[in-house]
Amino acid sequence: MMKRHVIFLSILSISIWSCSSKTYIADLDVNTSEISQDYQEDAEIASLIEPYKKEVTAQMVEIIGTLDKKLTKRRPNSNLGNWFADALKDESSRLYKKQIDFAVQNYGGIRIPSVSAGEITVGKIFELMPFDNKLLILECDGATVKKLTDRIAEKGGWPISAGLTFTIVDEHSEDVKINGEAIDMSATYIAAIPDYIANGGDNCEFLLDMKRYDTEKYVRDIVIEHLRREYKEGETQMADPSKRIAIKK
Amino acid sequence: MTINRRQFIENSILTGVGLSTGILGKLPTEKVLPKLCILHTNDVHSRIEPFPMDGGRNQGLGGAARRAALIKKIRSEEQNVLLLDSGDIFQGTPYFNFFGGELEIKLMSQMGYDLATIGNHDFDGGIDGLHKQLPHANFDFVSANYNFDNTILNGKVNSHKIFNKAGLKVGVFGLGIELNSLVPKELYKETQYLDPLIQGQKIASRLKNDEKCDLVICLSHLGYNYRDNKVSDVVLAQNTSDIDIILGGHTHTFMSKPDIRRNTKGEEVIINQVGWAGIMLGRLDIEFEHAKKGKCVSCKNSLINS
Repeated sequence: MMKRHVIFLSILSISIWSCSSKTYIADLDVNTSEISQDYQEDAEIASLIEPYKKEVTAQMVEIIGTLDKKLTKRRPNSNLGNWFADALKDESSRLYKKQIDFAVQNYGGIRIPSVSAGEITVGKIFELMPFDNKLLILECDGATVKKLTDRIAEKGGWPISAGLTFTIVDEHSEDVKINGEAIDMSATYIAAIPDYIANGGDNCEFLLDMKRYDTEKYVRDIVIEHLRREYKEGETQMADPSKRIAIKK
Repeated sequence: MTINRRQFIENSILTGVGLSTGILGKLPTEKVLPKLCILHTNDVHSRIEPFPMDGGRNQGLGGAARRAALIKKIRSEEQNVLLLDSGDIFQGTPYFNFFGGELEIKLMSQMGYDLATIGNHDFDGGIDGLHKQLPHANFDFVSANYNFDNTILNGKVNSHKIFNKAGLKVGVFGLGIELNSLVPKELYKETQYLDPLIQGQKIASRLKNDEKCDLVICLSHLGYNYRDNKVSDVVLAQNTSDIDIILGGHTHTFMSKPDIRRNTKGEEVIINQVGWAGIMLGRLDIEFEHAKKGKCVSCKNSLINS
């Protein structure tokens, strides 16, 4: 039916060729294709990819950890978020050589919904965190930490490490506690935060003025190093279901 | 959409008009307007290989080598093919982290991409990272609303490009999204973002009226549509004129068929976007006419699975 249609249209256009200089769309046929497994691979393109693929694969398959339970990403808390933020806190404490009070990771920065139990590869961490964001250590006054927890509350909850707890009440934070104690607005706290947020991303521009120390390492690499070290030490990554952010309805 | 084309043609045939033009059409001296086949991708995000078979929603889909095979097949059947990309070529798999986009650009060159615009993630390796990959591209990048004058890309990115396909003049320009708060400043540096509606209108008018292009296409990385008034493909379509087709990106929208909107002159603008990750290859086959009948668009979107 469509074919006949098209033929008639070309005939029609010929008759008007000399009458007008402008061109108009006479017929649009949309045929979007899904690139499924049924398509053969183009050999030239496959051979162009091959050496790159080899190099990527060799590094991606390295096993750097084992996980006791499946980790799933959820708001306001999740075992995946807890695990990720705790890894940042632990590893950055080593880098900074001082105790870090807490770590924060923006929810959108974690790019896969879950990590299966069992072996963890480098490739999995790349999927989890493809962005080349660096980790910064910030010295924040209590009032700024409160602004941050308010922002996290407004966004429905982000991954936060052990050491920080609060309650979401009507899209803001209440009962903020650091290391088990009520937040002191004039005290200084040390936080590990990806540069994306520390530089004002996700409406966290209030962090821009905070004194900072650059770890000069990607968030992803910090997690990979953390896993590698604990794997070498024979430790299994444990899912932690603790509720660091409560919601008051 | 505007006219029931088939009915019009069938009426013409009944009244004998169709028959007489049919005879004219057989004269050897008659010129036939060429047909154009536009292929397009957006937000491929460094998906070189198909999604792994891990039970995920997209498992087994996509892959540059398969896309290339399909493009080759279409080229063997169609004479006037334009292959276009609407940005966010980079970021999303380790291929980008390892090689900075080199393979992505080399593959697009080999597949014969004609033109691309710049997405926000194409700045993820910094504007210097993007500049570094340009020697691997045998196609151009266009943007009409990023001013690169005070950057390393100065003189390397034009607002538009005009293609001549069997006598058809096709003008293609690019539009990019606001970078502030989306991309760290240290990555895009002194790139200046200009109003896409003003710049888009300016270049579209120039292409349509001064350059006398038969077709004006916008490669957009603005995003399909937003709940608020943020500038998008829909806002662009409705508040400008002289753009025929907007091939979009950024919002990773899988459109089951193109969205048709009216521009400020009441003419139809076709908006299409094909998801992300190279899962789909968009294809618009266009036939032209010289009579202003208003665009008659008969869109069907068939998902070819084999």
